[in-house]
Amino acid sequence: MNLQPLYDVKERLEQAAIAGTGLLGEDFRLQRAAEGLKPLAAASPVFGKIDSGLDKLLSAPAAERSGLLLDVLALADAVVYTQGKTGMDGELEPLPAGAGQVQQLSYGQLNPLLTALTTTGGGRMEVVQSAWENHPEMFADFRVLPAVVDGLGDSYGELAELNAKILKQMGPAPLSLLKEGFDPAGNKSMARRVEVVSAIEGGHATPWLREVLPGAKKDVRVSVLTALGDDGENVPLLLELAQTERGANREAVLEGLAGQDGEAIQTFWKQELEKHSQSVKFLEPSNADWAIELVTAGLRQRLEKFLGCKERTTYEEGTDLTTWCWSLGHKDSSAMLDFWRWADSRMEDIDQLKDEKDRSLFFGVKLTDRLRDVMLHTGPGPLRDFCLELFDRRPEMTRYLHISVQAALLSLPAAAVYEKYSPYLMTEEPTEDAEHKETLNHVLIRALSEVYWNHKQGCHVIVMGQAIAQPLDSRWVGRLVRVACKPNMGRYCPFGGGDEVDGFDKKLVEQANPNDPEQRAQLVPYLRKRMTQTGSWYSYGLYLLMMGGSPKGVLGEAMKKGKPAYIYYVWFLLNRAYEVLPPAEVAELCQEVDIKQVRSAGREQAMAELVLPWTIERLQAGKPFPEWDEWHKMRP
Amino acid sequence: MDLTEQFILLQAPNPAAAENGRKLSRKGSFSALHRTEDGSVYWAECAGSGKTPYRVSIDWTNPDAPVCRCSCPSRQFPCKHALGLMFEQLAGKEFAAAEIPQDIADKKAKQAARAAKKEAKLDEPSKPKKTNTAAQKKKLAKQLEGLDMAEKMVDDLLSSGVGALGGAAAQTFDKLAKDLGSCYLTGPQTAFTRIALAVRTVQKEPEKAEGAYAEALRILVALRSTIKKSRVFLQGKLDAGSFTPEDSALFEALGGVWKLEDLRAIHSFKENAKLVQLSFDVSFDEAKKEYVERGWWIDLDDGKLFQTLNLRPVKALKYIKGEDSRFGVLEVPALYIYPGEGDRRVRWESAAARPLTEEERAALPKLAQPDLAAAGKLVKGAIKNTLAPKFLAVLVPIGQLGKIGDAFVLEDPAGARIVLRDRPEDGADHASTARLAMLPGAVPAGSALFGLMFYNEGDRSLCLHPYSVVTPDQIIRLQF
Repeated sequence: MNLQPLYDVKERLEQAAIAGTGLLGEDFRLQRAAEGLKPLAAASPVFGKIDSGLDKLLSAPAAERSGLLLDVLALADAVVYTQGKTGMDGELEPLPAGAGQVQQLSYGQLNPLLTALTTTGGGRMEVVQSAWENHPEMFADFRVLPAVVDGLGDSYGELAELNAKILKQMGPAPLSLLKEGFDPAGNKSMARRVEVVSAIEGGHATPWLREVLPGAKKDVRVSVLTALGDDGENVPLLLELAQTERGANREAVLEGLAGQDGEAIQTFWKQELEKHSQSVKFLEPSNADWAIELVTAGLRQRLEKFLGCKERTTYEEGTDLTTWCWSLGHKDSSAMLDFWRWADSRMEDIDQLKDEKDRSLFFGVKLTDRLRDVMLHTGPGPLRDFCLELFDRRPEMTRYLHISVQAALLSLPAAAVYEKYSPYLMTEEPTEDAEHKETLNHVLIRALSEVYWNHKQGCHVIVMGQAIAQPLDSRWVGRLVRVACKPNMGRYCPFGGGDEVDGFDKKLVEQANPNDPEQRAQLVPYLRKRMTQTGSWYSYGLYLLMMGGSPKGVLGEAMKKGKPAYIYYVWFLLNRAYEVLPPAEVAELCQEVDIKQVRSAGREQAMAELVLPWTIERLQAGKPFPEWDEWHKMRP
Repeated sequence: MDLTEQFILLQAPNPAAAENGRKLSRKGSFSALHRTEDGSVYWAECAGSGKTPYRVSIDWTNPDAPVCRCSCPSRQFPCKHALGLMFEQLAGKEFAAAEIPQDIADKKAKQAARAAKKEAKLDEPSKPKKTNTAAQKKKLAKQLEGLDMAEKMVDDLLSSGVGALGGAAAQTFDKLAKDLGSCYLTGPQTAFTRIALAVRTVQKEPEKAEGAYAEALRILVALRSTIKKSRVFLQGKLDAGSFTPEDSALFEALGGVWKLEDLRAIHSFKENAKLVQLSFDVSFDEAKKEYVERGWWIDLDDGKLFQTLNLRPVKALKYIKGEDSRFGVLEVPALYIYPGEGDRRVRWESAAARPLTEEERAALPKLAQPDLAAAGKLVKGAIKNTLAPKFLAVLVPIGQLGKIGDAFVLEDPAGARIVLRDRPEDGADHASTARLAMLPGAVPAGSALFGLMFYNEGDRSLCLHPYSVVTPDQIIRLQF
């Protein structure tokens, strides 16, 4: 049976409802549809009912039309529903096996993660991060995995990067999803897909990468070219691409070629550096012998051009030298050591390098810093031994002290380091050769300031480097607190509140091992002295408590000297004191608080007048130190 | 019972509370972990923002409904500290056996006394409920008055055309719809709000006009039917002086809320039912400004499908506990069934959970309709009713699952086919058809597919929105 007339009637009725029954009289299309239904009406009673409903509707007065229209529409709908077809012709292809896992996860477990992955707004990063830390297995669920893959295109870049990081750690499970629907001309999300595929598959991704390369554009092309660099098999292709690609694409190719090895690669880089000196930056991570030789020889050649002559470097030449210096990276080999020996032998000349405007390039300093950085990242060996002896051999190069003392800390017993280098710390003003001695003093303090006590590891560590051979000799603290001349090391607010401390003092506290009674005993009197000198009662007070000391006896004096403070800081310090000191001592500290130095604005002073005596009473009665809320409630 | 993370999430008032509890446990905020010798009570101290730690305990006397207590001032129940203590248990932390502290023992005794009192009260013959006849009469009269108003609104709306509902007209329409609420007709009131929302969708997103107008017309048709049938129904009650709830879907369509005692009174309940949840989902009802947490259940005895609806209005979100997916069997002493046809709503007061046995699991797909034809017939019969939703939950046997072109298709063992497709009205967050392609292996023989069968206006066919694959070994939830 051809049901088209029924569908036409239904559609016309719906249109009439949208347009309004007021226009029904002029709705010729509805009338025509009603006419078309007549043959069906004759064939079946249910169509007959619709037909008679239509007749009634079309002949009804305006006031009755609405109800009649809905009645006939209801009937038409019901018939249409009963005539609904099912099925589909064609060959049924079985579903391929998907990449996800089936897990029994509840709405409460899944929904926060799925919402974070598929919606927008704040707080999503934390949800995904926390789920990954606590339930990494959830990401393999067949409902979650596609959302993570789609999340590579999240509008919040950091979340997209987190998704990429997660996928990279999931093994081959997401591969099929990543490759399915991949658009080589797509956006950043597709570029991230390439990165993930490459990270998971490594060299095995090559066939797919080669397949998508011809259509790859913009960010995706860069990613594909970068990924091709992970497989040595792609060297011929990359060498070819290095001739044809431009801009960021070419840089990606160079990045890939920098990680390869072989004769062709060496030849390429030799020619490349001759043509494009700045391309050397791509060799920064490479530790291959040929790369080291190229970089050191190139840098030496560039430096020699200016050494011993009065020629000044142009801006471009200066930049070029810096790039080559930076490209030394963390390279360590015998060729590298030869380079450092040569640089050391010409250091005075290198220090003389100047630009066109007669300004120093400070290239000697740059090189020395680079050497120290390499040394901090490499283990024991000839380079460290070289650094260890550097200052001994050339004591006139004061900056070498920085490297040598750190090399010593990494290699020698703590006592030997102290005995050898502590004399450079001046505990008295020098009478002769003051400038040189002061410089050495400053260099040593700076070198030591990079050593801090790592609470987690329970050892001393050099910033950005490694743990030193033995815990710092305790005598250093005793000597440092007596140092007569300090370099300017900036000012800091370690606990907020605008309460400043000197950079030297901050580093000193960070360096001291709080578990070492000897160091504490030397540091506490110093901090008490500094507290009264500076008036920074809050920061030094907290430092003292950290070091097992007490601000008792100096708090009042320090407050008098310091700036007016919020009462919250008073509470915070006393509360912290209560955690480590006996209640009676905390009560005495309460008495020491200079109420006049509490900010007068916002009824803070009046509050202090109430809360402090009350707290003293409480402590004397054996009750615990009050919560901040309790103080706050007493605000008049 | 074996404590699971899902159980803890189920106890939590919201996911954030559970997450906060987990964080407390992870960062080691709990100390003095203790339990009674028999493991019925666990207690500990939890560090809070104050100096004094909170004392938190969990009474596991009834393992399905643990009693949580905490000295914190949180209004959430259970609080994050109690949930954190559950995570401590889950993590297998060591709880030292000890004598139950006196304060917890006292509270436990009080609780037991209260429960005994409640039980004794239940055993007492209930007093017949007094009906305020005058008030009921007044209410019925007001409802009839409201129906007249609703009919007039429908007439006016259709006279000017649904498409003309916009701007000032829409605001007047909204106001009138609100008046229906004061006539105890919250059902029609919501229907009008839905129509206004649909029309606003057309104005904001003209590309969605076809679907939105179709939705508005479906509501209008149902509304017209409700008005007509309700007028007869209410007039009949008024004339007969009958004011007790009756076994009619109209009661709910008008906005009535069923109480369990009323459902018991009309004998709409089943004793000792065994239910298994097939699927769970949450949607937001824009018209009523509430979250609808829907569970789909199958009765292990006869394969009947039911739904549970936990309605959480946005304004009261904090105070109504959220529902969650349930795995295993729920043994329900009294299952209250709402009047109506199709996917009937159910509720219960108490239930005990247990894992599915292997036999029960294997029997689940066998509870499916015999074939697609039978399911189709059932669906057509249900959706042609103007008052019924335009879909029906069905469990159909799977012969083969596959694709024809881009379309997912289910073929039953008899070779009949149905296209699997997401129901557009469910929204993007309910999209689950494509997830079939993510399943790790082929669906084993003897499996069934649970989902919502609906009429698709686009190609005038019946389609199935898949929600779960029920295999003889497991229920694979495509939703939650």
